[in-house]
Amino acid sequence: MPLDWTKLIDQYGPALLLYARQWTPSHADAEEVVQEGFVRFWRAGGETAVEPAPRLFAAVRRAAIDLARSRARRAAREQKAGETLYEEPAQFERVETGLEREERRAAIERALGRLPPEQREVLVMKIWGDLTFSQIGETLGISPNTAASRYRYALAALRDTLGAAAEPSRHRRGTEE
Amino acid sequence: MTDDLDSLEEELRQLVPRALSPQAHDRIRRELEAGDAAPARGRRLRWALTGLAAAAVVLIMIAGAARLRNTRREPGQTAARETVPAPEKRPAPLTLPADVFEPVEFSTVLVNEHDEGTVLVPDFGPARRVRYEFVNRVQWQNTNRNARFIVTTPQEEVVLIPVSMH
Repeated sequence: MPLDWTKLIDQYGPALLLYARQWTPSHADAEEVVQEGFVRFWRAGGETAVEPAPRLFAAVRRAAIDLARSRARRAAREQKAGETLYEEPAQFERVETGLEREERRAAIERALGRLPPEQREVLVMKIWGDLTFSQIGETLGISPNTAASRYRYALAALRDTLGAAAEPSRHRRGTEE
Repeated sequence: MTDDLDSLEEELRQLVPRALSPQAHDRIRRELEAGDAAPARGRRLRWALTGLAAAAVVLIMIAGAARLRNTRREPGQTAARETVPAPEKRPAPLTLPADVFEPVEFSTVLVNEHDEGTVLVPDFGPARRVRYEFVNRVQWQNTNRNARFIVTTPQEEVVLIPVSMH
């Protein structure tokens, strides 16, 4: 039976796009990487997998690395792109229910961009990709324990950067106003 | 985990990753549904390599089969067969379809990732150099004979990530 690609793209596209954004300087590049990732997934017969998410993330990761490598060859342009890395906002849907929540969203995006890449990718895969630590470990070639450690470090670093994360009640109150 | 990390985790889960643009979504879907996913250049190269590999395998099998027949032949039998050929007992010519082996599985595994630290690259500036080591594995299978072989190749990639110096 042919695979329902639309359903697969709808299901995993946003998380993969967010994942790709952690490697790429722009939204357009991230979409290109996601497209290439889906193509590689298809070429590798990934659609036959019981659980396609780990293979999709792995394919997108490879595509992102290849894109970064090709960019690295173009030294001057790459350096310019690097300066804007993670500065492009709106990796998440905008929050319409309050200015404070929207500011909070923007702050989280900035804090996410400041995380070490190895922690950030684990966090994205876990939170928004809904992968298990075992699947993350398999995708990244690390042990599940290492994946779990990176995840905890990432959360702790985010908490420290955000500061206000320790005050969820204040955050919620802001959205009700 | 501690309560504050739990609440942060919950807050993060509330954020919805931005969706693919309709254009990108449509582009990906059409490309996949058409079954024409590989970029033209890569696809041509892949099929060229597939053809070459299949041809090489067929040649190896033919050579191997011929050698096997020769080593099993007794001297007396050779003479008898040569002098009294029996057409009905003559082994059928070895015919193998050209596409007898097909790639059935491909995987790429990242086996090592090494951050080599900050380096200064001429005409590039300061950058973090990260070395990735992959193992590519292609499995070929002959469904008629249920034979298969696996080709494993190492691949190394070095990525330069620009860094700003303060």
